[in-house]
Amino acid sequence: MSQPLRMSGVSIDLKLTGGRVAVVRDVDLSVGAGEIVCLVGESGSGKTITALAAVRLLPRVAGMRSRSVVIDGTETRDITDKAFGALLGDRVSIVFQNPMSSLNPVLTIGEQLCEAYLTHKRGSRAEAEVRAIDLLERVGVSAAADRMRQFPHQLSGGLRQRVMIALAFMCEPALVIGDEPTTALDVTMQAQTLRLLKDLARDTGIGLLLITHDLGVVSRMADRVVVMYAGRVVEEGTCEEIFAHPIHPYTRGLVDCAPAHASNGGFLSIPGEVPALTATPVGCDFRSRCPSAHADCHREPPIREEGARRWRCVMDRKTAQAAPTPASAALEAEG
Amino acid sequence: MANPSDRAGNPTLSPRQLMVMRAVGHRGFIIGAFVTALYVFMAVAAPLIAPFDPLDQNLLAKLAPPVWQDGGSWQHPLGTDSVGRDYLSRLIFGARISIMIGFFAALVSAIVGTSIGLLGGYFGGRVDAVVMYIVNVKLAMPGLLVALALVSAFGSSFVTLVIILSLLFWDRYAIVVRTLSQQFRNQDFVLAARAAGASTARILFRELLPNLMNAVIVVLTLEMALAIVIEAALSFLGLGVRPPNPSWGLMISEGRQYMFFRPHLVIAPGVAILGLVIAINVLGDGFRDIAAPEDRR
Repeated sequence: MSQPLRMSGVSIDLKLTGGRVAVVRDVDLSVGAGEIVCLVGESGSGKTITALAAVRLLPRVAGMRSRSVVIDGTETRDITDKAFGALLGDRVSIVFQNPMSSLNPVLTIGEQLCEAYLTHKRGSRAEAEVRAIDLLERVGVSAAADRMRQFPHQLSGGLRQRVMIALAFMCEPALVIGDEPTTALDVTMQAQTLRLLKDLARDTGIGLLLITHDLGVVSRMADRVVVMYAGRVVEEGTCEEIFAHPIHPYTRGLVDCAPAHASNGGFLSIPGEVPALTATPVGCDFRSRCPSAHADCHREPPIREEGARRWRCVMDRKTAQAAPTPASAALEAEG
Repeated sequence: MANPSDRAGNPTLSPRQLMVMRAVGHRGFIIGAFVTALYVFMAVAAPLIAPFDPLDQNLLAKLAPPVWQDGGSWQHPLGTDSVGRDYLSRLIFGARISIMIGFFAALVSAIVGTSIGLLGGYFGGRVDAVVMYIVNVKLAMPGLLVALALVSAFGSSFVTLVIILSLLFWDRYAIVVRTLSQQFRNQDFVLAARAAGASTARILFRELLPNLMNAVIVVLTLEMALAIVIEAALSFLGLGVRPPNPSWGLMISEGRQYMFFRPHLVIAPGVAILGLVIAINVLGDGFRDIAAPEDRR
């Protein structure tokens, strides 16, 4: 089985009135079959746009360069939009953030599910309906056959997101991208929906790329975690490794900030702000907020590798893990 | 599941059922629909309900008075015209021409205008610039004058009349549809459709168009009423429907010279036009209330 997604050397520019802004720089990202990869980062770190770039749904003002984007064994870097359209929805599909507006209000659930199938697969409408009802039942929609005739507004948000998930799996893709698929749902539905996605991915061997800023989601879902900061991947590793032994100062700060990890009962934060993308400093992007920053950080940080673990920092594992985390340094400064 | 609306067969209604319920409760819509339906019935069943052939002349019985005037009889309830044709029959057959020309002109212009507006609104940029340029040229044109010129140049068969009238009316569809598709093109479901590999044509006609249909239908009713009036005007000026065919505008024009002693020859077709145009307008207005009640409060 080929890898559902492997993209390397992806850079994305936004053309704005002031000129070009590099929002994503030299990102490598891959998702294996049956693997759940979480792409983490704060707002503006480029995680969503990276995922959109993989499926060519970038806004018009965005330009993308890459060495290679392979989807389910097909190199898509140089194929036409039309040829790419044949992959979209078939080999790779997306669950968007907002289930309330992602379904067409004037078409029934059944029509939308069947259309997704019939666009890519040869087969009758009846076959499509059988598959749609089967999938709806698998994602826990009761009375699926009746639901097929209903319109989106007749369904609750949680149900709609289930329909979106069913929609994403209609053509048995190799890769499903979830762009914060549970952010718009209330907390009780979030856990259910995530479990559903995870089970579906596990059952079908589909690769799942989940974009989120919720570390609680990450720790429950991910096999592998990719941390982005200011348009770059700063650390990558298995879920246990990242949470138990984060290396990059930013990741260590993030893990510290997750409420479950805040030992003193309060909320911790990383002081400072993400550098403006119009004025990213030469060298390490995180150095203005990093407690261990020193002269070397003004040069491009090297990418260090240890097995499946990669991080972008001048410090090696030992030095980095011995250094103070951004949050603890901030606490000390206050106290 | 914990969610209460997870049960199927919940009491929420489909959009269609909702619209039917609102329609039944909307007096204007019901009256408009009823009167329009009467006219349509009159047009369709004209050969059955008209007492005479509208083209049959009887010069011995010309300018017979209507039933309420001295000398009038129930044989010709509205009397006869200057060449002795039964006026009621002509009025009934006139509904055919008005409705057919009005409907087809509105329909053809709906297709043209909606396509143009959809392209401009969805693609934006240069396509939109071209579309808006064409719309502006159209708006700057004195429509009725151009129609007059075209009719006198190309003659006035049914088809040319429909085509010329639709050239007059497509711009309103284009503007309405363009604005709406600009709003809809950035909706998540359009992005979701693209993410599902939908072609541009499918996004335009399957995802966007159904969302625009209500607005198009409202414009269609208003434009149809207008087309009926313009057809009557052209016929009145002798550039529309050719005699001896019964068209209300033509009938007004023919009755004009007898206006002072047989005023009903002008009033009857005038009332017929007025009734139909008002009915269609009320119908369209009601449809807007029903289709998008949130736009009006």
